[in-house]
Amino acid sequence: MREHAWHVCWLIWLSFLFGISAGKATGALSVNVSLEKTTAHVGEQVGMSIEITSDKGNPPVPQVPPVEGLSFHLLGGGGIQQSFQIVNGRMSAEYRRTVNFVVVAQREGTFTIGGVRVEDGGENATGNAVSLTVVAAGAPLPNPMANQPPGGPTQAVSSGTLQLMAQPSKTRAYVGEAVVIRYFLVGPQQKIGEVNGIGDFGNLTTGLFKRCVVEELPIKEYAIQSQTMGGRPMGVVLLKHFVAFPLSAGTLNMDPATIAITVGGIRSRFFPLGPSQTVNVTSQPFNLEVIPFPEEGRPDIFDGAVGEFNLTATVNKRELREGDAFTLRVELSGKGNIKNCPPPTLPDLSQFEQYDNTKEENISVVEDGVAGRIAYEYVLVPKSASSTEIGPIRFSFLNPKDTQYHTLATEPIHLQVSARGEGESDRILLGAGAGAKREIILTGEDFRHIAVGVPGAEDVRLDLYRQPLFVLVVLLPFGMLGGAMMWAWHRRRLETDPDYARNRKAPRMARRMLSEARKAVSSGDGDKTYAALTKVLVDYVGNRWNLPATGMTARDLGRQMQQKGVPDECVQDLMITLEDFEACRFGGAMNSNLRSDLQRTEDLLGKLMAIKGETA
Amino acid sequence: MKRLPILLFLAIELVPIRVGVAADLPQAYDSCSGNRGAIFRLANSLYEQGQLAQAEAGYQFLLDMGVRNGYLYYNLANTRFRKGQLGPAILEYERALQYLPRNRDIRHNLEFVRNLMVDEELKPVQYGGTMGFIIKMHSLLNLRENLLGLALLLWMTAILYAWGALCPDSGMTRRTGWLRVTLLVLLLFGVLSAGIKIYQNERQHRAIILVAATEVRTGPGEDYSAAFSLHEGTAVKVESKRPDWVQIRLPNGFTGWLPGKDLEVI
Repeated sequence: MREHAWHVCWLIWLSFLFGISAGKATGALSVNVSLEKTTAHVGEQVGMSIEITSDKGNPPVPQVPPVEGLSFHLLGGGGIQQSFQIVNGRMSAEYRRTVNFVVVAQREGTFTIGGVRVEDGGENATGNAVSLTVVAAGAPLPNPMANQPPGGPTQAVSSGTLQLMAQPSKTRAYVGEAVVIRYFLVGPQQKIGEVNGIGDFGNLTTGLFKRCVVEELPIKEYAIQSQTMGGRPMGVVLLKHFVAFPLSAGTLNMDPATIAITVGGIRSRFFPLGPSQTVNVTSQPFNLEVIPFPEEGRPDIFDGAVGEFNLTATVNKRELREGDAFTLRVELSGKGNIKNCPPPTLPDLSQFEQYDNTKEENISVVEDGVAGRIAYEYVLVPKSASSTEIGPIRFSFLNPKDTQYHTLATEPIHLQVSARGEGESDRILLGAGAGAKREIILTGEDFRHIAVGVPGAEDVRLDLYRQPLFVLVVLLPFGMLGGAMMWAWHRRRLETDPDYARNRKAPRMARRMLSEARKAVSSGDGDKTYAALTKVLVDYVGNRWNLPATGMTARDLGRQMQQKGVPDECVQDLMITLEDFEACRFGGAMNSNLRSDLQRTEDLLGKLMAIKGETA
Repeated sequence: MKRLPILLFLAIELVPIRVGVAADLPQAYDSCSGNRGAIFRLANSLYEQGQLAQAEAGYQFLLDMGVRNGYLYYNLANTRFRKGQLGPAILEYERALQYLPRNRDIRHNLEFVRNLMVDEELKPVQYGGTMGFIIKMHSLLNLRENLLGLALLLWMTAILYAWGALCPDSGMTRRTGWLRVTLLVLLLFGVLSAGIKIYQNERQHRAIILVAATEVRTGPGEDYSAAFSLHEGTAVKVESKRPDWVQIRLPNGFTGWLPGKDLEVI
């Protein structure tokens, strides 16, 4: 039974999958552009979201046209969401990619961001135009959110005896500065110990989090810590740990968060057992005041990095031959908004040919922010043989601890490039960081040669399904399976149904007894012969019509057979024969009659078998 | 019985086939005595020597004899491309792919030749994820391989299920429960895959434009207005046929009528 259920599940799954393919994708390529706000200060970062919807499997990444006075920085995103829809029995697929940018205003004015364009397989789409009004730093913004008073750092709302507490690490931060926000469940230790389930934080994607880049530090285990609050021992459980990087200046409001807590019952691996109660706990809203970058001392190359960073630059070799490639590795490390900050500013590299760059990230969320390193690798080839130099690579950031801008600069790197001799081979690019290993580069792509040494004269028939032999090969397993199932059914019925077993063995038994009767006739033994002939008939009738024939008189047997619907002629014949045999058996019989009575029995058995469609 | 493979080999490779040889084959093939393997090898040799017309005649002769396989189509396609026949080359590459769907050389050359086409290639909807994987598996085998695999799966499944019916309590039956379910799933996939391919083989005909440029008209006749034009090598789907005219459809939904001589079904 379980096996059948599995089969059905697989069939449904396959039907679903092929149902998708059967439905033709509908819909068209579309682009939707939205700004998180329409007004901003100079230097402020404003989030921009571009959503591309397509009926094809891989919506393209959009191209944002340059806008004088605005700079665009790709934040990330780009994951593809897939959804299916069934309308009138037809299934259609829709793919959606959302790409997030940060827009930084460099001067005052009203800017229109339009003409965001995507191209997918010959199909083009242009996004809607959005406007951004930029005012001078410090000037008031017509933003209703900015007028709300800032909230306290630690607030909680009671729900019965359990409370959800939101705790931001600070209430005032720079744009791009890390703000740690933790959510705790607080309550009496006994009550905390009874908590069996914690629901999802469903509404955290609104409010403050919508205007921040948010990273989450996963909570591996809900550990109960004891704290004394108001003179009472309380249990505290850390439920969520976020690190938020505000994208724009202003007052950001954190909406209350609500989660469902299951209390009581018995802890189980999958769900609580026994009586339990679900209560909703809600945190207090709080405000975060985000201040723009200070104007004073801002370096030209500053592009929004906030935190503490280090910068190093290395090359994999300093002595080169003309045309040899080398790798410049620039590594930025530290703590802050490293994940979203721009790459360091490179010096003039016009004396080098530049090839594909690579970026390697090793960033993780830690207790008090986001830390790690990003390594940028540039494959460069000197254009001429001479001593040359890679100038300082620079990176500016704002350190919120001392509220000062810092600019890092690497030492210049000197390279010695010697000329290549006559007859030396062409350039071989060394892979990024590959040391002495040489990367094989495809320099020419051409038409491929004919196939030789292959069975090109063989006739290969694709349409095997037209060949009778193949059809037979395909049909045979069904016959085999059907035969096996019939045989299994027959064997099972023989074991479980005695009537069926008697019925099936009746002809075989009758033939065997008839054989013994023939031997008795040959030996001339009358008693033995008539006993055997009587047994042949009585046993066959008993087995075939499922009658308790042994010990019955010929008349009783005849009556029972009439009730079973056996034709009267056969019944009469049987009764007379059995009575005659009984008389012969006990009254003595001539040996000459034995053969005729054997024949008579065979004839009668033939008639009885004919009723059931058998042959004697 | 052991001699059967040898006899088959002799029948296929060594017995000369003389029907129509003298009439159709150039003199260069006289030494082959109608031996199909020898004709193929000689045609390859002529191709390598740059005698493309002679090589094409050899490959074409094998096709006329009823020989069908991917390598033959591939070599003929290469020959036609080198002769400057873009459309016929694409047609033969497409035919070759039906026999050898995993052959990288065919795909490479087809892509290479398609880059020279005038019309932009209209690709069907691309699926990703599970659907993409299933479609990839579906297109991995040709129809013959699919059917043979299906027959093998059918036998294995039938044997295991028959064994399960006859010996329900045996250790083997208990141990092979998952194998039976897996085989059944593979079998269903194989049946669906083969069914789709057979349907495509029988009903869905694709064709390639063979002429440099042709006008696609709104109806089957020169008096109908031209809807759009197509160029050599473009693949179209044949919707219906009339004497001398064929109704076609493009992947983007454009439809119209073409003279039958301007295209050939793959």
